[in-house]
Formats: sequence, C-alpha cells, structure tokens
Amino acid sequence: MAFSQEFGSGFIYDAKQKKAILSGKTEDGIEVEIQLIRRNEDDSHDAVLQVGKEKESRFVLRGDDVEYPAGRIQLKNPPLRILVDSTTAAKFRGFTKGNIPTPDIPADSLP
Amino acid sequence: MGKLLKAYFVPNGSYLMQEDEDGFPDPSVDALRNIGREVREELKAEVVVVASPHWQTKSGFYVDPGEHHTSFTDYPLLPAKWGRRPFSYEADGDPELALAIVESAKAKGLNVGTKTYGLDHGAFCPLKVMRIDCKVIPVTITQRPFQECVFWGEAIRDAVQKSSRRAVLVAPGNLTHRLDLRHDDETEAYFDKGKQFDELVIDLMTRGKFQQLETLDQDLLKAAAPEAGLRPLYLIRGATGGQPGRLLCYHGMKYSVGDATFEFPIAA
Repeated sequence: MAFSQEFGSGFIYDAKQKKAILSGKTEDGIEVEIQLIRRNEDDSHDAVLQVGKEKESRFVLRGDDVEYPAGRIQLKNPPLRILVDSTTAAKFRGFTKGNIPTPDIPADSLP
Repeated sequence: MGKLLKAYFVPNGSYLMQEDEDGFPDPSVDALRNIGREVREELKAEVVVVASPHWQTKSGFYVDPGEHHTSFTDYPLLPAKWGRRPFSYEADGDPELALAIVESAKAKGLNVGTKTYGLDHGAFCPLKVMRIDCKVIPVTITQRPFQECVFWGEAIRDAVQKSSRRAVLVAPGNLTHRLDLRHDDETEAYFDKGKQFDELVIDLMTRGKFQQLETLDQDLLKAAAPEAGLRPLYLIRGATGGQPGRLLCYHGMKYSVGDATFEFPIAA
C-alpha cells in the first residue's frame, strides 16, 4: 500500500494518465496492484493485475464481477481476494460502477 | 399529482463540508444552507433527485433504486497527521419514484437501468451542507451526448409529475474546474480564462439561453474544463424547460474552480 499514507486510500485516480490504481495485499501478505487503464463504452474496465513479482496479466473488469466481503475485494475472474481498508474498497466499488473521483493527481481536463 | 418544485445547480467541493463543520465563513456554504432551509421549510419537498457530476457512466443513464443510501469517500483525504477528516451522509431512498424515472427515460428512448451505487461526494457534499433529511434518489450525469442529458432531465420531471411526490432536482457541478491549477496563493483573477468562462455561463443561465451552451468557444471551454462538461446544466434545461436561472452566489475562482450556485424555476 505504497500510496495509502500519502493519499489516505489504497485507491487513487490519476487524471493525467486517465487511470485508477488499487493497491492491497493477498491474505498471504503479497502486494497486489490493479491498474484500471481504460473505461470502456459498456462501463467495464481494461485492467492490469500485478501480484507480487509475478508477471502482470490483463483482464476486463466488470462491476458485477466483484464482491465485497468485510475488508476484502473478491474478484470472480481472475479469482483473487484482496485485503484493503473500507475507504479503499468503497472507492474501488464506486469506480467500477461509473464514479470518477476527485483526482488524486489532477489534470487539465476531466474525466 | 406530483410536482417538480425547483432545480438547483450547486458546488460540490469536499472543502465545503469542512468549512460548514468548522463555521468558516463562505458564501457558498451560506447559499447551500439557505437552499436547504427553502427545500425543507418552504417547498416542503418529500424527495430530492440528485445527479452527481462524479457518476459518469458511459453506457447509459442509471438510477439507484435503493431503500437506503450511504455515502462513500471519493475525494482525496488529507494525510492523517494533517487532520484527515472523512465525512459521511445517509438518506432513505424512494424505490417507487426511482423505478418510475427508469420507465420514463425508457419511453424517451434512452438506454437506462438501475445500479446499486450510493452517494458519492458530488451528491452528498451539498446535501449534507443543506441538511437534507427527506428521501433522496441518486442518478447519473453520465458521459452521454448533451441532448440525451436534456431528455434525461425531461424524463425526471415527467416521472415526478406522474407520481404523488413533491420533489426538487439538485444537479451539482462547477463551472471552471481546473484542480491542476490549485495554488495556495491563488486569487479570483488568477486564472483569467476561467473567470471569463464563468461570467459567460452565468450570463447565459440568468437569461435562460441554454441553447448557447452548445456554441461556446471551444478553446475557452477546453481551458475551463467545466465539471462533467456542463452536463448538469443540460439536465436542468430538460427538467425545467429552460427557464432563466437566478444566481444565488458566485464565489469566483476558489481552489481553481468556479463555485456558482443557481436556482431554476420549473416551466408550467
């Protein structure tokens, strides 16, 4: 959770690069990062997943493909459980449902 | 028979909640409090339909039909050592009217549906400062074409009128919205193009010249980067029938955003 101290959340929106970044850990304590690099016309997101030092993988994230058991983000496909704080989970959930947050890294245009 | 009583264009910066809580003098906070008092005590609204400028779906228009809504924090929080202060807000929903809005928008040919979403700060910040305690229906502002946003506003008004509700529409947004230019030493004149843009839009809105929003100078529009591309005003155009608005407050270029507050009557 490299930026949670600076930004108060493990989920930030970089308006310059038009992408959002989620940072958390697996239940084994391995660092996880998901970059949502593009919002598609059907409101799904092109996503890039990095778990620890494994090779990054790409997938399409849909809002309905994520569940939020207490303190966790549960992806259905790829199957992955990510531990985050409640603010981070809520911010991530909102983004997958169409939210564009106030950017943590602002740019000269929105979204 | 239901009635859409008024529409409001209001600022939604999270700092407004902080200033409200701290008692920090700010005309925008005062304007929001006055609107809240009007909505509660004079208009006696039963429901507020709120279109967050931060709920920007691309695929279509959405309504949250939930029975109860909770807020989430979609704005940067200060580091803990600087007094991080997350705010929250809750409100009951109005599933019946929410679903009626969906049907009304379908009848207008819009791609529309429901999502369980809640209240982002674009919606809950002004409602919290206004102390809105009636039912609330969150709806999207979207990234859809402007004309569709006009139809969306018409759909909301039609649904309210066919219901038994007394409702108001709150469409938050900023005119100029250049958070990247934020500086500690900024002044109202700091970003001249933003000031020009704000004054132009304020002039158009107070004269009811909504159609001229579509012909604004593109360079000026790009420089000002208004929140949600001014879609809240297109939504208001549809909901009100394009009546001239009354400027309640303009705080100038504060934090590099143009905080303007308007009320709009509804055409008979």
